[in-house]
Amino acid sequence: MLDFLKKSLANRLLFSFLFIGFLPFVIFLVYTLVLSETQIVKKLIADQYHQVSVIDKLIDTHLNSLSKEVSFLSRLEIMDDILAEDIDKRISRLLKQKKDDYALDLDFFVLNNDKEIISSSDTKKIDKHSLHVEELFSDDGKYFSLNKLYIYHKIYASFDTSKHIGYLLVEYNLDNLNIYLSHEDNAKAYMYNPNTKLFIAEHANLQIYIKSKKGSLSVGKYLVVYEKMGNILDDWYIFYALEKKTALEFFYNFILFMLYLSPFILVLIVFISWKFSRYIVKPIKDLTILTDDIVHSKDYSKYLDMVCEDEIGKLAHSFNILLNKTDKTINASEAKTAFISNMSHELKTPLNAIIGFSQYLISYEKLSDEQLDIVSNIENSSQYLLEMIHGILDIAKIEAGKVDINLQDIDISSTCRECFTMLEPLAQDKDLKFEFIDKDYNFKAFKTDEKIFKQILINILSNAIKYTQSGSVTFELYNTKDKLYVRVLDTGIGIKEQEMDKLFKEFSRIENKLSSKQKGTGLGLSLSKKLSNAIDGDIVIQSDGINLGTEVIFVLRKRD
Amino acid sequence: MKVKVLLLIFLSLSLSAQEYAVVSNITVCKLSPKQIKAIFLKKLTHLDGIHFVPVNLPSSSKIRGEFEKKVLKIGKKRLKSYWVKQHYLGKRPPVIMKSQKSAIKFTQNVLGSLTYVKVQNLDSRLNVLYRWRDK
Repeated sequence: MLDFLKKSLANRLLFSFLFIGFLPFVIFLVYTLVLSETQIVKKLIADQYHQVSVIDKLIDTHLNSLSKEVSFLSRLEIMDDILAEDIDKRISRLLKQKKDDYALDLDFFVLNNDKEIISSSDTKKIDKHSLHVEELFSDDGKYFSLNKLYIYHKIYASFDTSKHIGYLLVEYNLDNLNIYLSHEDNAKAYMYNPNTKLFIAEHANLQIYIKSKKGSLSVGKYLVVYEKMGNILDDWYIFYALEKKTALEFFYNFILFMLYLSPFILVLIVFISWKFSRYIVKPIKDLTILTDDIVHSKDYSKYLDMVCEDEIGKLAHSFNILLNKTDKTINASEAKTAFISNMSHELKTPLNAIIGFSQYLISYEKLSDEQLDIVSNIENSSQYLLEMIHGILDIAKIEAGKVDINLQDIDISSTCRECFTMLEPLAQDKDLKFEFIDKDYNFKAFKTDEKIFKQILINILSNAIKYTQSGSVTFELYNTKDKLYVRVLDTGIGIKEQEMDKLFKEFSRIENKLSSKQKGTGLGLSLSKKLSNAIDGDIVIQSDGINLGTEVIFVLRKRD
Repeated sequence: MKVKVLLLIFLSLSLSAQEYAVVSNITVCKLSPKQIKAIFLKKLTHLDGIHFVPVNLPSSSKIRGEFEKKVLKIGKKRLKSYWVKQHYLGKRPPVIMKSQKSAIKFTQNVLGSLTYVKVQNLDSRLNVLYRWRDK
């Protein structure tokens, strides 16, 4: 799964864009679906409380103004007419006029101290019992009878303010308050008295248990808010029932719209992310294609045609400069290799003649001992030179990429044993313990070039034997899932840490007490390293220091 | 018989001059015209534990005009300016009843109240304090 990200910058970018695009969208969607409804309901409840308080204030103001009107009327001088039993009907006319001014279902009454009706705004209403006048003794200036509210005020004589001469009473039908309560289909505001179970205005017919002065709850299809009324109507509650479906209709429509829109937005995010990641990566991809092409064709004269001025444009520009320089270097290197190759080839012919004639002299001519020594020296030196020329030729071939690699499935274990057998006499000559271990090796066949493999192996083993005076040389073969390892461990002279980097340089030999005694061109290890690279492998050398032995690991990657 | 009828006609003609009376429901004391005047000008408000409540008829009333002329003996203008001054002293003019009938009813009902009526409207429950004629 992660390989898909590890191996592609474009995929990483795509994934990042998708993440950046999806995350806010998903958060928004979740918020809308889960939290918004709660928030909206809270807001609705707050609005309903506001509505309720507005209605309460309006009703309170209205009833207070009515109460003030009653108080005002009761203080008029004309009320002295109570004492003349309103024979002139002055009070009646005034009350009638007030009733007409209000244009509501209410009536004013003036009663004497015996609570007999002296006058009223409606002459037909003269039955004091229907007014429940016994309640007049209460001091708070009001009383109720079902849906009727009675507000009254005592009347005192204008000529003697201590003389109580009667009452002014208004009978107010609470249904008048309908005008302050809303009657929409989806929102019902109504009043309810839990003591008398009476309702004012069309109610939502809900069973609600009132627990406190105010509250909100969800009942059936309604969201209900209630609050106790103040002052005059202190036994009553205002209810505001809002139909949830209608109130939240916009929100539900919005959610539906979001859900319908989601697939399109998701597709859009994917499309934009894909397009942008590809757009950003395109120059890098072009660069990669060109690099691959150059690696395969080895044509360093190509260049990258890139017009953008961003970082990638700069990289392409630098890459073109690098290509140009590499091209020049490679041309120079090729020229050098061709020169060395030709020269070496030309040298081999006369050298073979020298060797041939030297060997002829040694074998067929009767030379004195002194002459024999000289000619033998000529032959030895020529052989050394020839060996060196072969080495140089091999290196030149590798550098020119002209090494023929012949891959085939081989039994590495038996190949190693052959090499072991071949070099065993050398170890025996020096009384070294030489052993081959392959118990941890289990590849049946391994695809590689057998000739090169052997050449490398023999070089490593012969070096190990060459630079070990006593002790042992252990030759171990093992593998992991996708790699093959050859480990050669000796108890020889070892290598100083600071000389490690000289090991793979051509013509370099590390100076030590044995180097003067040993023959060598200084090309072997360098050649082995280059050859191992050519067959997709590598050589690593480790040593703890002088006289502490050396460990050489030759590793090869398994080919599919 | 004819003589009697003629005499009655004569008498009634001679009596066409209207007679008025100041009435009250006060029985415990007698009031002089001066005292009545003082009561209606609200200079006298209490006497023998009685709180007087003078009751006027509307200012357009002819009877009130006669009462002010004969009993109060003060012209309309003077009376008006008198009450304006009294107003600033915190006193208000007497209660006004729109009709004689209601004034009588008021006087019957309120102890210490006084009003003036035409003699023919006199009520037996009311005590006549003072009488006068317009001619």
